[in-house]
Amino acid sequence: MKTNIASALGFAAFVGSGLLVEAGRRFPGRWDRRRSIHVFLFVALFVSFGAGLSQHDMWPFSSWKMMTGLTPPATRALPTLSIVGVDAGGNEYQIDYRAWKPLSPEELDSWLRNNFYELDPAARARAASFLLQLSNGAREQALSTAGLPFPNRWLGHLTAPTHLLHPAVWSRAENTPHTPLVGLRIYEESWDLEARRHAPVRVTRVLADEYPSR
Amino acid sequence: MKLLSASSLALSWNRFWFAPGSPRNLAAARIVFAVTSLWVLVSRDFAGISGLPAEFWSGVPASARWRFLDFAGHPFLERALEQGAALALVCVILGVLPRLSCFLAGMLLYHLAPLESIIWTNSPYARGLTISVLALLTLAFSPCGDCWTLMPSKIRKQADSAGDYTWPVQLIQVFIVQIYFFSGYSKVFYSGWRWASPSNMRNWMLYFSQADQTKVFHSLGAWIAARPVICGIIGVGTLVFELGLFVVLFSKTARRLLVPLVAVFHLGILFSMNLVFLNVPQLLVFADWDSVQSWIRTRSKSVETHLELTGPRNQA
Repeated sequence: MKTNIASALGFAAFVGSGLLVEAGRRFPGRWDRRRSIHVFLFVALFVSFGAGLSQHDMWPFSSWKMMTGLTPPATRALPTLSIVGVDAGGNEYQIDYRAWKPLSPEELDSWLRNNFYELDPAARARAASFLLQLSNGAREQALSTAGLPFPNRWLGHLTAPTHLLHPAVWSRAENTPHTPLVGLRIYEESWDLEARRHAPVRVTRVLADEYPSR
Repeated sequence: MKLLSASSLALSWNRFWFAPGSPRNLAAARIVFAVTSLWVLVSRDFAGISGLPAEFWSGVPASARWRFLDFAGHPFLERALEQGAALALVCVILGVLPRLSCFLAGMLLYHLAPLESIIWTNSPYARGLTISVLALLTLAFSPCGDCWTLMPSKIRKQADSAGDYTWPVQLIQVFIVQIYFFSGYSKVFYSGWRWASPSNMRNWMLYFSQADQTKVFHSLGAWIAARPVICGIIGVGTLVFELGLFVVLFSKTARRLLVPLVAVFHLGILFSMNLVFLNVPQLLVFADWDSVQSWIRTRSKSVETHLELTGPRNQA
């Protein structure tokens, strides 16, 4: 709440002082333009350095907190979530990142971690049902002659990627489920970085959630 | 003494922000930011986020919704705003009412960009539009329409002096340098200098080259991880580079050397860790566009001369 209000005020000060520069241009006699530029620069520097040095993100004045942690040799402390689709035969399939449009996999992953388990069981089921619907829609598109489109179908491969690159697993027919998916499973995957270097399959998977629940 | 230092400070301030500049650099910044923003805008589906089922929006605080005026259940309105932002960005590129278009595009992106992550965070940084919002609004308050416009102003140039072309470009460059400075600062802030240790670098490399969800390029990361000396150099080098990049604001030589290195730095991160940084094309605001234009003119003249000398008449 406080961060949102402070950030909104910071942005309003930035835009407001910018409009003063414009006022100085339009009404040169009434407003000292050079002084208004100084004010604008001061506000922009004050808010942007304030956000960065205090490490309180005030987007669009960002603290640019990126890859700040010490990565432990085993990823058990923060397992990676993996959502897989399940067909009627019980076979599991990795789901292509493009299936989650309009969500990107990073946002979906973070939402699942932070919000999904806060929902009551009925709401969780509705959200999972929506995700299953997205997966099946994308599966059908992937099997069509046109294939599963990129988030912008006209730009195709030139679509701006998200912050993390993801493999387009359903670009290959053998990875695409040929029968409808009837359920979803969310696994928490963790592994020992050193062990997996030598044996890529050494991953511990823990079933975190399943839809429909058994 | 105190007065002297205050006046020298004021002199340095004025020299930094108001040294005579070129309208071309400002116009280039306008075009570069509009093109990159348009690219990101059309690559996302912000309107679709508004149309997500209510469950996805349940954790969004009211203060975040009101801060950006982002609400659930209005996909058609958001689609129209997306199209409005795209149109404004095209106008910015072409120089049609460039300052008004910059303002509209900046404000619309301030509203649209947070939709990408709002279901779990109100800070959509590192997704490609953070600096764009600040840059487009800065450009809106500057004489960015004095050059390279389809519809030049019929009344008069918008700049009062050549210094008016400098401060907006400098401010945008400061915003870009802050990305690196605060990125380095936050690493030390949260983890201390141990962040740069070879073991930490090694673990980051291994993690990103092993995670199935992000494994597109995996050879370079694994190769680096197997070499502790290189991991150490990368760790220390990253902190020195990020914390020291601000020198490009003050030195032309540093700019020529370090800005291309930033692009190489991001290329390395892409191939070793599968992390994309969409702001890379925006580094073009550090170029001297007067020199670029005169270089292009010289090249085209020499091609013309070459064609004249080797044309059919001379060959005969």
